[in-house]
Amino acid sequence: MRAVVVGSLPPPITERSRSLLAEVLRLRREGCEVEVVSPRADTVAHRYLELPGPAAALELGLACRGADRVVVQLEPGFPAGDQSGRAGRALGLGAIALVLAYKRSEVVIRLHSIHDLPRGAGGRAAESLWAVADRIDAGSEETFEQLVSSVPAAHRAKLQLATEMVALGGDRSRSADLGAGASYEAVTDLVRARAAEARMRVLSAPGVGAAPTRGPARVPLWQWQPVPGAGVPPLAQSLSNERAHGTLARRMARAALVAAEEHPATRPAARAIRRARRLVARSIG
Amino acid sequence: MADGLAAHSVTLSAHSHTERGQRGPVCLPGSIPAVAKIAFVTPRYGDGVLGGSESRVREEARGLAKRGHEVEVLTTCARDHHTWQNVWPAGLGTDGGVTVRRFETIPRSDPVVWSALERRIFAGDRLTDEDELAWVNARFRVPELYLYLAETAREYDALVFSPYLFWTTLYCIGIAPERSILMPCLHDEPYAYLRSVRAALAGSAEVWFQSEPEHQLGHRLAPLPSHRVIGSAVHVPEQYDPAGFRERHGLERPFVLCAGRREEGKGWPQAMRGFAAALVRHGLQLDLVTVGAGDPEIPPALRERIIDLGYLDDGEVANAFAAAEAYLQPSPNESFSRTIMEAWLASTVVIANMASEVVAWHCERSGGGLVYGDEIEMGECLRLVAEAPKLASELAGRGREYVLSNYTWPKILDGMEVALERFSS
Repeated sequence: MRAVVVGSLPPPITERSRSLLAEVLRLRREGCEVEVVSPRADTVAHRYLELPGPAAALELGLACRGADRVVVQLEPGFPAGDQSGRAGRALGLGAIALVLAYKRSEVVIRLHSIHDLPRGAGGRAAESLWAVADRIDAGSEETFEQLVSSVPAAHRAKLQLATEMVALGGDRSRSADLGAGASYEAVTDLVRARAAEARMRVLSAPGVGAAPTRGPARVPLWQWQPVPGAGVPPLAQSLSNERAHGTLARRMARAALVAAEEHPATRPAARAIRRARRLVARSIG
Repeated sequence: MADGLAAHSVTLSAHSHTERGQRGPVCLPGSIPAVAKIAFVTPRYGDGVLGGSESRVREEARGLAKRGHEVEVLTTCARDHHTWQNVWPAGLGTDGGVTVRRFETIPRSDPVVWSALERRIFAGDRLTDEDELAWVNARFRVPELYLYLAETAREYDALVFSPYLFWTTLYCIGIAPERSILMPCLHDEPYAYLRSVRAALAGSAEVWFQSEPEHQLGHRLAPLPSHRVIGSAVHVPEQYDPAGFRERHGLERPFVLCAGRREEGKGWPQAMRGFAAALVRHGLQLDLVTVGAGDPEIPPALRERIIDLGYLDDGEVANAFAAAEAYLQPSPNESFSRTIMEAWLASTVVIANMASEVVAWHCERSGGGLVYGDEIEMGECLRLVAEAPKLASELAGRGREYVLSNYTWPKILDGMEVALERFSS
């Protein structure tokens, strides 16, 4: 069985990402072949949604082809941005609902916190999403209660509580679980994990942490010319003003390439384009 | 930790910031240690994989397996560190008593964006956390490895991650930090200052360094957990065949050897430029022979004096070291430098770029190597080797002594076992 999970796994390690990871691991234990599609480029995933807002629904539709189960986690920025107005929210939710409505697969919608969905879980746009779901998972009891009051009665039977989370890093509070009979290993494991997390917090404090994070441009040693008097290469000129993840046009082109690679007829052309892009990158990089 | 270098033992020196020895007797070198279940997590592993840290992980995994520990290597199906294409099949395999579990990589999808971020890193621009991770992610990623570790990390006593600058380390080390050991193989390079790298150093249970300069760099980068200078090692070949090597490859003139990856980051273009300048300046009667991976891109005018022998097997590389008049190490980015150890073992003097703090440290401590700061000094070093072979041979002898007393596998594995005792359940 093939399952497509749409949402953000760690990093960063948050309750939301640990909860989705638990769902992925549960599907794997059930024997599913799981593909993770993430709206964030820095998280663990098999592929990423390149397009912003409602356009991501198109990509999602392509990614979910042939899947027996589709799990979509609603989260900040997906499918509607934090600052989305009524129209943005309606477009984002409507597009996802439209795409999922035409899938023959089982659809699971996850909502870890009610705040992950701008303007709450009610409204016509959200209703269309609840309608296409076969199951609606709530990440906490509080979210579950809020969904019970927001989701139309016809869909309330689909609601389930999904509070399982994977213990990752120092982001766990197990000291309460460690009773008097806790093993030495369990205690030291907890201390080490928490110490690791605390050291990482020290790093993020301003003015603390050993290494400089700002300052004059560092010169890569291999660009230094070992000739007395040659000076330092003007690195500032090589700075790119390009946005980290590309312009909208570039992201659309990337999404089109990914889609083209999916189909046997367009795959050779897509790969040729990729090869050409690599050559260009090498020549400038 | 600001221990004086002279008073500091290179191998087995422990700088534990945590209390040790509270879980029964600590294992001492030579005693029988508890059997540990260890996983080495490394981006590439297997035959034909070039790279100091990759070779080191392989030796350590095999060495610990031979000593009775349950050792697994969690790695990718890739061999080439430029393309990250899957070459080996995914799944289980074995290698000298080590269980190898391979996971498929998803290679870089957008080289243009990756290059743009890379340029910003080199220019000293500060990337956001998201951009840093996107840059790491864009090189290659191994989501199946992450999911496997999320499921099974706690079945292992220790997870040893190496080297630092790859998805396999930066993404996966946070899964079970209480049993994660980082063997970073740090160089003082722009990547080392990334926040995600510093977080990996700070966010592990223990860090194993290869040398004192690397240890000091670690302290400059992040608040370190318990850490040790474990060192590294090289195998001592039983015999060398320098005459046979010269004959097999048609090398008539004496030569200087340069081995390893022929790429910018390893100082290869500078080595060629310095060698060419020395030819002109001193009328040097030495050729430069190069072996290893990558296209050396030798300019046509130098092709008679710079000879590329391509990739050679380990035995033949050892013969190359023995046949050379000197070994040239131009790389500014070394965390240990196995090749200078191999050169010294073959009684060949080392000429090294002092921009690599670690290599300069080895040369100074052993008295077996010459270091240069610019191409004029490099030329003078080459000239000295050509004019005074006896002196070069004496220096090389000191280097050999240094390697034999500090960097052999039994000593290093003893040290690792002592360190692992803390993690054995």
